[in-house]
Amino acid sequence: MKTNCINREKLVGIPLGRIILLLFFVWAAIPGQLQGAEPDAAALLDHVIFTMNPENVKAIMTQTITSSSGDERTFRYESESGGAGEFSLMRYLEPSRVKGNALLLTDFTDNIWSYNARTNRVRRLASNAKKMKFEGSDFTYEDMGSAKVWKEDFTVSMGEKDRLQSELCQQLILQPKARANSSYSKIILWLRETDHFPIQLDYYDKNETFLKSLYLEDIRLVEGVLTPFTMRMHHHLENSETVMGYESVTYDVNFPKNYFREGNLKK
Amino acid sequence: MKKVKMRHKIPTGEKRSLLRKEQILSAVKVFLRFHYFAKNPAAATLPIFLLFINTLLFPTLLKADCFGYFESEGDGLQSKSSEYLFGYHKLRLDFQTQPEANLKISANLTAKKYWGKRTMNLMDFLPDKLLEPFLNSSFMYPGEPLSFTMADTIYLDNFYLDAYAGNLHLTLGRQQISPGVGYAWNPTDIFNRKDPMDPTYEQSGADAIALELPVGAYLTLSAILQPKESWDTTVRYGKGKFSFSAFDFSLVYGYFQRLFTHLEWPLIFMGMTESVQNRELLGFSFFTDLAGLGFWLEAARCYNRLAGYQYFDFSDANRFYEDPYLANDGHYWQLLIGADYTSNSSLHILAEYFYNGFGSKKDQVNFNHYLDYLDGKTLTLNQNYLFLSLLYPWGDSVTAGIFTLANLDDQSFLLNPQLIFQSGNNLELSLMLSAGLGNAESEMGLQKYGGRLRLRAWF
Repeated sequence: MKTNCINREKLVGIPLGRIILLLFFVWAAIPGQLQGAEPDAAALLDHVIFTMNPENVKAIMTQTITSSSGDERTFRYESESGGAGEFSLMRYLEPSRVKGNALLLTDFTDNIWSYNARTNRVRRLASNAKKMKFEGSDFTYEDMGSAKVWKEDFTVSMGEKDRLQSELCQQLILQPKARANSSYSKIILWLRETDHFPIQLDYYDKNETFLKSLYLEDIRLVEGVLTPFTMRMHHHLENSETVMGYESVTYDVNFPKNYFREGNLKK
Repeated sequence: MKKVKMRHKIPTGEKRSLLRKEQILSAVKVFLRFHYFAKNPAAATLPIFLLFINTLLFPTLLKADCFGYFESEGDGLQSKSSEYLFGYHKLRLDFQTQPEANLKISANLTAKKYWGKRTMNLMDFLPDKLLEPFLNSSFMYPGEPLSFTMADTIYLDNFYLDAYAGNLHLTLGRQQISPGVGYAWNPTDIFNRKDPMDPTYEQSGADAIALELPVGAYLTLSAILQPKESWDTTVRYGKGKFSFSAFDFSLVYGYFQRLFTHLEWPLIFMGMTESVQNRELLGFSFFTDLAGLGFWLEAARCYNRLAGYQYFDFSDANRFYEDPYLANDGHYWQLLIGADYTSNSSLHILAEYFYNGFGSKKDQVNFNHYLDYLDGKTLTLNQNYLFLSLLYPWGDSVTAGIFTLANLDDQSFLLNPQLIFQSGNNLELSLMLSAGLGNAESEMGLQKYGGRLRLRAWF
């Protein structure tokens, strides 16, 4: 791909051996699926991580939680994310119960700070708190974090090919490494065969029980980035559901240096 | 009224006369009202406040976001042989406006109306042994109450401006300041005293200027001034906070003044007397994450700098009136160690141990200790305390939990089961029961049982 950008004139005078070597490295860097070969699991995971974690994002999001009894709660918040998901800052806009409250997640949700606007207090949460439900929803803090942790904390293997919502999908199976601090024993990613974009994630708890599924729907291209406008998490055991959606989103944003720090929770 | 009429020329025309009469009458009414308010300043608070809201605040706030909550609370408790049933209704209105990206103005107005028993007899909350001198004194009739009354209030709790210039953040005005990493107690907090029975409840604002400046990626410097009548009495606070990965470390300096109201000895000249202590605080706090376990430490060394006011020497007093604060020249340590953990099933466990060198030693509690404690001058009555809490989200809407507050010195503790129920976006109902266990003369054992029902609706 990068060869397109190389000026032909500059190639003149370079020894042929070097050009072949350069072409080899460029070819090796291209994901397998683009070369026509069967992709391996690690390459697919890299592709998923790259697709799901743009460098910078700024969005207004809504989150609607529907409990098993049918009770509904809706939150609206501003979300900012940088470093391809390494940092996240969320400020609640609605409802008034949580208005002004904010959350800062750094190091891929390993560090969590919670700001309560009513008491003007910032409280640091231990990393195990990422297993807690996010505002009582079906998402945990861990689910809200970057997919990048999958690469470090999980082993990845190829699953079956199967049809899902009339789309042929490739399953990718993630299992946490022994040292990983995860609530799950297994996560199955369903990647649609056409572009390997995930459309469903199945979560299994530590007892291998099928716990919940995340459905990524209404996928649109925004500023060149595939964006699921609706993310629906269904808890199979509790029969509850949380729907997160974008009201607005942009990837064309830059955050100042050291923007994702505790002091900015109150801003 | 007649005098006023005689002093003014009455117009000849009937219409003008009526007009004039009304004007005079209203002038008299205004005069009488001001005369009344001059005599009763408390009664003037509401109209002046409404005038202020109407003329100054509303035009600005009309453009502001307006939100808040209504809260209603009912409390019942039995302490010694007395039963109390009381509560309040509270309305909090929050206003917030952001005229420019780097400028934010916030305010909140709080109205609180009490119901039920409003007057508390202090004697019901003190061990009998401390009351013996009063009961035996000819200057105080046995059973005569030492009481305090909760009065209805309307007040502007916070109103402040946030301004940002580059990395510098300035907060100016009446604001909540909540330093420290501890959950139930904060030894490095010189602005508030948390109630360990309700540690996440909002605190009152402090009139202060606060500056915060991030330096590099890991360091944040803060300075707070709470101006008072003179530089000597002005509260000063400085903090340097270093955050790196799983570590937060803060160094704190504080200067503040405390006014103590104590009983003077001998009892025959009994009266409440005041003394002032100027204090300097050097402290630090630390937070780290150990394999998913949160661990924190907050400590402060407080130095006594006498202010030159009269300070009482209780050296010849009996056990009831010994002043422990002069021990070690009045310097003391406060140390808090805490940890929390969240299990895979979302069960949250939190534990804190608190040592308060300013509290009374075991078996040495005197009347003045209780006064200082009830007056918020010391964080705890005794020196060694434990706070344990378990919280479990039970389904989507209910959180069940239990927490205990233990006084390790007199071996008494409060056991508090609680249920928090959330409905929809903006309604929360919480129920807490409380049982005091321990010796009848102990801090927690005094209170036999209690309960609190609180409903809060946001808008």
